Amino acid sequence: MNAFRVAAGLVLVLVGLATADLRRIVTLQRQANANVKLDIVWFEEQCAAIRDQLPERGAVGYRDQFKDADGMSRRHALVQYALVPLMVEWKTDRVPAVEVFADNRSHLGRVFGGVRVVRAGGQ
Amino acid sequence: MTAVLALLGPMAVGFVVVTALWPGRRRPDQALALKACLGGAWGVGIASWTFFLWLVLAGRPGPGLVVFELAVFGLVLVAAVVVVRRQRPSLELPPRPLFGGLLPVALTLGFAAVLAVRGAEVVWFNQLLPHGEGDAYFIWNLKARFLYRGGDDWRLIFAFPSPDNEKIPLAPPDYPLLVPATVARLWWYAGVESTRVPAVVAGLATLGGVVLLWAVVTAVRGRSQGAIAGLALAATPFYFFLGSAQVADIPLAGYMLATVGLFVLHDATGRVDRRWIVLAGMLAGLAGWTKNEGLVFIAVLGAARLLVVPPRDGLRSAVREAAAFLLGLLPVLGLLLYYRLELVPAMNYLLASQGDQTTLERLQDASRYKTIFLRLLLQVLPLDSRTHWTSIGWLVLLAVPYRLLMGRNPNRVGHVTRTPLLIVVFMLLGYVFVYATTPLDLRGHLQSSLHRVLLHLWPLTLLWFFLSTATPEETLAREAQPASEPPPA
Repeated sequence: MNAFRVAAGLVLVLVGLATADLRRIVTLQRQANANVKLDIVWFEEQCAAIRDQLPERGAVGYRDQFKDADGMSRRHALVQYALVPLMVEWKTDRVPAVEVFADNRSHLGRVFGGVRVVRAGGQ
Repeated sequence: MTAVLALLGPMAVGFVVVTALWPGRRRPDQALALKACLGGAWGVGIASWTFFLWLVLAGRPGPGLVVFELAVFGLVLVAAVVVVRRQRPSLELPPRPLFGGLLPVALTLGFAAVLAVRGAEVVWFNQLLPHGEGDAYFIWNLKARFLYRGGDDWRLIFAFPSPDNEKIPLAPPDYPLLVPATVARLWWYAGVESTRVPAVVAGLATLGGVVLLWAVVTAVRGRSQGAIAGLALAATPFYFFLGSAQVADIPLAGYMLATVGLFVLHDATGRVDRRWIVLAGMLAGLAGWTKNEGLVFIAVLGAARLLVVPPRDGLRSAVREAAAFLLGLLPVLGLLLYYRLELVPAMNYLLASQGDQTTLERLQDASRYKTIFLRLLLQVLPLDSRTHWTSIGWLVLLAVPYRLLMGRNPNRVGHVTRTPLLIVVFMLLGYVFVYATTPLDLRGHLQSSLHRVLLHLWPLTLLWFFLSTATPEETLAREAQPASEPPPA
């Protein structure tokens, strides 16, 4: 009988631990996302707005006005994800290119960056 | 609706295939959930295989895909029905009473309730992160988009440039395609690219893995033990977070568990029938089609069985088992070899950067091992609250008193538990070797992946633990024994 009590108690502990921990993770995640748009969703919307200015298929270049290397890597990946099946080439002079710039017109534009198309001659 | 049929159809065929290869009785019985899990995993994996094969043959998805898939699954179904009619059951799983007392009923109900809560939490996570997290959109969903949107250009997934030192690898060309092809296939059938599809695939793999562990342990060790094993995995928050993140690590863990679970069933039932081994070969192949670590798993599985089977059953038995395994493995491995040798232009970025001298220098660098083992320790023990693995660390700590309280399995089960234990140990050694030789920044590589690769092994570890630990019923019987003895004269 003792073993049954111990086993049942342990199962309850496991269940309680699990529930509490997962709730903590979800709560943290919700706090992190509260009133903040995910950068991936932001780039999906920004890239959708410029999609018709780019070729349907093939390769385009990539420029980034922000200087942080890690952030640049992530922004390039998000732009690439949004613009599939275009190949968004990293570190080339190809035009047209997608440029991520500090867009001062909105808070998210300043934080994540706005997206625009650069053509030959820097237009 | 079409997408639902496209998902459930292959799973139903998978159920018939598993039933055909089931050495035990085929009527609905205690193994129904186990067969359903294995059949679902088989169906989803083989459907991604047929979708990719169609892309290779026809160049792009189109109406012919439906005919092709109907033909493939129809043929498989006919073959499975023929096998069902011709083969006779050769063994029986240990019989279990329908309820078996209050304890197993209470534990099973508790497990079902926790699983339902976990299901709701998986949905919740996916609402928070509709595109998944990290590798989901850097690799898996990115490739799925190429396969779906790319039309004739789907082969661009092999054109991503190699990573340089300033940029993390984006969708490495050699990564296998089970998850992306599954998602792209369902998008194609649905006719629309919805974030719900990868979420459903991820949710099925996550919850299916828990049910599979419960079902395997239940089949071998009884209802109470199965429910406790399922609860232990359900009590692992990061498993559900990662599963909801739509990355391929949880599907891989599921295929690895399914494969090893079949070997456990084979070993636990006298090793008289090798149909489970054929099925294990298929599922191991699908593990290799899910992630490159699945290929390591296939090699490790071979090594583990080489250590277990010949000393126990003799060389001839080992050769027969290997033949049965290869019979199941080769159809999946064939396409995978074609994929790696013909379509993928370059070697894996971790392997390509190796050189005799630099690799040797890295292997001889003791500080790299110190970094790896320290990080490993922080992941497995709850010393640092910031690590992802913390909650599992608490479970590892709880496992010690649990084992002391319950005791070891009173039966001689070394022949059953050795395979999962060896696989966990060998896989860990393999991962340490990969980290020791990685050309990437070691700390960054550990930071970005160690918590995920450990989760590949977590269901297998739980399987081993609950196979080798006494069930509550066995512990109760052991304690009751002295009381029932007659008092000394």
